Amino acid sequence: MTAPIYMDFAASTPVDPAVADAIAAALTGEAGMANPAATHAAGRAAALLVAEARARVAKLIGATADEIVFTSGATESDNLAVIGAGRFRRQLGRHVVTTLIEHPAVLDSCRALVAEGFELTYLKPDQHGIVAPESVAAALRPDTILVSVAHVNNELGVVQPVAAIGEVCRRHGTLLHVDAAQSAGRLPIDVRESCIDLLSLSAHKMYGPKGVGALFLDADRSRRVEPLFHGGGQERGLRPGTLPTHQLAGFGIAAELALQRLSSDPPAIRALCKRLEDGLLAVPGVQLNGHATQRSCHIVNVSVAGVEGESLRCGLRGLAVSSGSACAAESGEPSPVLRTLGRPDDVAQASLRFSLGRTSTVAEVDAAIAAFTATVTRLRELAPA
Amino acid sequence: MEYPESVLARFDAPPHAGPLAPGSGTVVAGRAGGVAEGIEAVFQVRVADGRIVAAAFYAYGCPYSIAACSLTAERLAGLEVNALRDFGLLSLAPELELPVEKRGRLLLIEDALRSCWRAWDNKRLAASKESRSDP
Repeated sequence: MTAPIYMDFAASTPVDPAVADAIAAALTGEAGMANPAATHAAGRAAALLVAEARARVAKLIGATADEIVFTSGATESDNLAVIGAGRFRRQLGRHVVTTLIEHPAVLDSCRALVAEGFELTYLKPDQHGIVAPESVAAALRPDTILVSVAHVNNELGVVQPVAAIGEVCRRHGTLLHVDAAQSAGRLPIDVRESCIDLLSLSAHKMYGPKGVGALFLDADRSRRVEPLFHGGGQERGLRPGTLPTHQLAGFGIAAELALQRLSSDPPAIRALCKRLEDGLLAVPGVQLNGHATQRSCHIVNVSVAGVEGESLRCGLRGLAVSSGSACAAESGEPSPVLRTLGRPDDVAQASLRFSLGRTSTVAEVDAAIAAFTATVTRLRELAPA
Repeated sequence: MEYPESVLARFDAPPHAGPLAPGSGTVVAGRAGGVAEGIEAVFQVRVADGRIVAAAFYAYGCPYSIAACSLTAERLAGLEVNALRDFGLLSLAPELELPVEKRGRLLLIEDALRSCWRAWDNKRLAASKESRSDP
């Protein structure tokens, strides 16, 4: 059996060879051996690796190294940002704003705050998945302490106007948290220009290793959040625990490569995605989910009318694609994001997220279009008139 | 979701899918379910001398639904026509390794078969009335 064509780069990306080399070097070399918190020479060598990684990650988003806290991934970063900032600022207010189409890591973190007495306002995006800055402004209250919006929605690929939302939040004096797991390395990010106070990153979404991520905390506005873990002073006490030197070394190289390739990767991936989108939409009854143009280069999400979702996915098992958020795939439920956009359950269930990446090829895209067309046609012929 | 090989084989190339092949006998059809229910099945059955001589289906549903319709159509051939009324879908469960959570929905296939049986019974009654009214 041939390996499926991988089109799930929004769920995870392959580790770049240069990243793998950096990880291997840190694992096997003396520099990565010691605990980076140790004060002896070996510890200082490990700490240097971590410092280099921190600087590289910071540079990707226009931050300074001391504003980066390493975590286990974007899910932890989202938790630390939302719950940590909420708890730390609860004396200032207990109102949080987010959107109906956020990643479960943000939604569930917000709900955790609700369980602690916070109030939560969900913003509904427009029919294309875009959250208007005006709707954010309208939701803000004197006691609003945090707004959380993903830069690029993980299912639809739509790009939210975070800079405009950032301006709204800054004028109001509210913190803005942005989950940038999908956008880092695919869109330019400047946390200062966009007035972002907290920003979540994930290494494995940008050709780095799984199990490591980062939270940016603006040095002036959100330097402190209440830690979720306790038991050590690492990461300024915000995220205690021995740092995984080898993973961070890989994360640093992944971030550096992402920045270097920011002018070459996204246009190439966008061209492939356009070819894929055109091919998929050429099949009658196939509808694009999300904004036609205000979308990241790597995601195409479509719904298919007249075809049952589980059979659609089974018929396309030669393609590694997703039916929604990988983090919610096991539930089997129609995507809440597509429900929010107004798709009926049967249509939401028959939806697929194709996401391309650095190693995707024209031949793979054409093969995917052919398989999709054949499967949809066959299942429709099989269905009762 | 992982599927058993027996299901995948019938899903990829389902025997007895599509229109009923031409032949002699009485043809009846029955339908059950709908898109909202996650499964819709239509069966066409050819009956001759009180026996089912051929069956075919159309189906909208999950791979288990399609495989179950295909296997049902296969099993019907050669049975007495009352099998349409009495067919128990769970008899297919071992062969298709039907998960418990799928079984309730797949029972709609039985409804489609009963719909076929009612169609056949109506035809039989109509034919019987016609023959009684003949001079």
